Amino acid sequence: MSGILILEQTLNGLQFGLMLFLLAAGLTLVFGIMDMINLAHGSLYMIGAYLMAAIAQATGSFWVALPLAVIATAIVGMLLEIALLRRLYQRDHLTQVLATFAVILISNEVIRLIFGPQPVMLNAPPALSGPVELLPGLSYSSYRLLIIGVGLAVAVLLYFLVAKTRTGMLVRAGASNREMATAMGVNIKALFTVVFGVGAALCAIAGAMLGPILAVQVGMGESILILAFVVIVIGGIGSIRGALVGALLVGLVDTIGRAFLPMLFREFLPPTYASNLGPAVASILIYLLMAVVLFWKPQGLFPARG
Amino acid sequence: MSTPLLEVRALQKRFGGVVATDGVTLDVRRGELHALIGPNGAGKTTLIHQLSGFLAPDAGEILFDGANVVARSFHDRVHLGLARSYQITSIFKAFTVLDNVALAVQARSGSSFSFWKPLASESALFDEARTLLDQVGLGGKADVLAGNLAHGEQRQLEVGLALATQPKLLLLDEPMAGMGPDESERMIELIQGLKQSIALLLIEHDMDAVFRLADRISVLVSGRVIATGLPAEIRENAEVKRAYLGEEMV
Amino acid sequence: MTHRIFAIVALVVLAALPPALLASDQDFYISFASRIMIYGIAATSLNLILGYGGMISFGHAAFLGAGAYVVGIMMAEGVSSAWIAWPAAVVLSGLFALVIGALSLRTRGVYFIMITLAFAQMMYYVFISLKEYGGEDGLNLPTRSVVGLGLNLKDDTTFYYVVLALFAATLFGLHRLVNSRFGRVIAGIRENETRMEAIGFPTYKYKLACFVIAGAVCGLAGALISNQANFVSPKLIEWTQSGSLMIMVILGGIGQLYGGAVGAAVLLILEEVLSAYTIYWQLPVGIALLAVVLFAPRGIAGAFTRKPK
Repeated sequence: MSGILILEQTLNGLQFGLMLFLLAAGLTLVFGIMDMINLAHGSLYMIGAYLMAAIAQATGSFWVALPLAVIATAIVGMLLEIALLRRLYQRDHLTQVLATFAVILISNEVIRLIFGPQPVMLNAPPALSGPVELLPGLSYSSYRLLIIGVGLAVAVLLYFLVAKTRTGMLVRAGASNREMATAMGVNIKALFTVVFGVGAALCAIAGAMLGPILAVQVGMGESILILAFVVIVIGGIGSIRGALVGALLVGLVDTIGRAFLPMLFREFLPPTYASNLGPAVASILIYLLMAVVLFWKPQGLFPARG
Repeated sequence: MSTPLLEVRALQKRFGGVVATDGVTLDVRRGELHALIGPNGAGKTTLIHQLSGFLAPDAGEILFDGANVVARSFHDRVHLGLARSYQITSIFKAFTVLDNVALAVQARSGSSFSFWKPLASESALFDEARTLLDQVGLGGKADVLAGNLAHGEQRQLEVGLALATQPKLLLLDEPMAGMGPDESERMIELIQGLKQSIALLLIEHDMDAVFRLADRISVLVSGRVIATGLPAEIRENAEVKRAYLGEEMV
Repeated sequence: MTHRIFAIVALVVLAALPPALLASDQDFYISFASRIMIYGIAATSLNLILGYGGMISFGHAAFLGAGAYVVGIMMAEGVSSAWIAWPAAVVLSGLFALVIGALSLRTRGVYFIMITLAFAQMMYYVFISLKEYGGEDGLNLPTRSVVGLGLNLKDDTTFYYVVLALFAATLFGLHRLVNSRFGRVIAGIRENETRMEAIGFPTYKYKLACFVIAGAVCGLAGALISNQANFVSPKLIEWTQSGSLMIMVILGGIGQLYGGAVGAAVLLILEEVLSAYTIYWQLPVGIALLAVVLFAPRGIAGAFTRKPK
């Protein structure tokens, strides 16, 4: 088990974690402020990826397509909020789960109708298709480095937005005490729509960035959605800081676990057990992590709500 | 003189820097109606929470019928005979009035891990429920949905639910909250009717009701009992007057 | 009275279905009808904890999969008797429900939803990793469970009647359960859990018992589904399956006695009919679900019962 391998997997975990953070941030805000479980969040991620692929195809440029796809997805998200989701805020969680599950079904089929059932091509920008030598012996994909860069940049931007701007203050106020925020005269409806749009934009960034690495296909939203929920449960609902910490934890544990656990098991267990148990345990590692965190801190690591 | 049914000794509770209960000592005798009054923020509800088992005190003893119950859970205390009604009505709105009380009777009569026998066949249970409804003045409303009752009637049902557990001591947390004069009168009569059979610790702001019903009164100010005695004594107590007048002046 | 009449009529109709289908040369649908009833059992078990108990479990498919795999694995190991495998499926699913419930019920709200989902996911990945039993590709069952008594389950009609008997028993059992003391307690917990505690009910124990019963019954459905399909795969445990079960409950009528059964029938028939016209059948299903959730939350069975005023 070389140090190079560990470093490489750590970078992968960081990269994955930062993208998870983009999804989790939007999700935790929506949940924290509007008290809404939004399963359709994964669909926005998928829509972002597909729009990116389509626009990149049409314009021939990754860099032109990225902001366009993000804006387009944000608009889709806001339209969705206005048309449907705002009716769900006052409803119980079960209704929200079922309604947004319906949105998943509908958006999967609509995407399939438009783009067909086969995965769609999305390529990294040609300038970044090669590796970069970070350390002697450690070559790392320059595109993945870009992802890490984008993720960090967005995290900093988000921190600035939430902690230092007036809108951010309103958002935080809404997250911890909705009634108070309304009483203070905040236009809650508009705020919610904006928050939702921002969440959708974040999903789109993640979808667009991860597209070249993971496949852009129908149903890609669901698998990452569960991870995002695990992240916000671990991090604490309503807390962006918690989303970041949780996402990094999940990203690192999942990536490193999958890379090294089977190896580890093969060292210590008879081969028949190891070949089954290794991958299985690696897959469920993050759920075990979530269970442990909840056992120790039932409200997550940084609960935002008072 | 028999031992008091409830003895509270030097009860302490703080929340961070705030001392909510500051060495409270009081007792409730069998068959008496002991009223607990005090200005807002005195800590009456916190005290009730500790007595019923919802909150654990930091220090002190709570002796019920001779046994120390501080470590006992919420519903252990209910089974021992210490029940409470709530300041904010907490009933089963989708059930009928009768079913509300029947459920409470069901809790203390036999096991409910019974999966096959229809509940409707247990006439003894429903007879007892109807008797309880009469006792709290809701006999005529047995088949009304609890959510459709008037506020005062819901408060009566609230008392009925607590009564169904056959308590030896009933903690009444502001039973008259939000009631108009007619409803309050009905509640006073209800409580009068209860005095024969059980001991009562009554928390109330309605002074008219307190002085009509109480055998003894304790006054709680800033987490401490500043006076305990007969209603006439309390009425004349200078410290008590100061505590209430002081509040009014602010 | 009307309820009893309805039940008897429904039973008679269901019993007369196979000969009617055989006569009209549509006997393929006998197997389909069995499938509907099996999912009806599964959805009914979810309705118990979701509709009656108010517990939003997003991992119920775990018990379906558990029951199915018990039968599949036992058969792979040479045990084909239904008298051993099916009760084993029920008991083991019940045990899983005990463990999962004991841990999950310590949490509330969205945390409960997430934990139940997580447990189902864990089970999903564990079964994917079981290469000896098919792993991701699933496990074929060479035959159906052996009942003896002159009944050959390989015959679709015989299997149908066995399923019908179990289906009717499940619904009758639920009927008795909700009208029993236990049923009333569960309803009370759903209404106002804090007050139930205050009255003296240890609510955790009751919720756990409810969860275990539901899990065990779903395990039975799992045993039956692996028989019906002659196949079991981790796909049974995907969270989208749990979602499907929830859709059945809400479509059919949450908290209604026949909600699970009606919902299973509606969803599966819809699926069957729509997929004949288009591969995008999930689109109208999604729209229907959305419509029901927004405008008819009491579902289909709910439309037939009096709304509490």
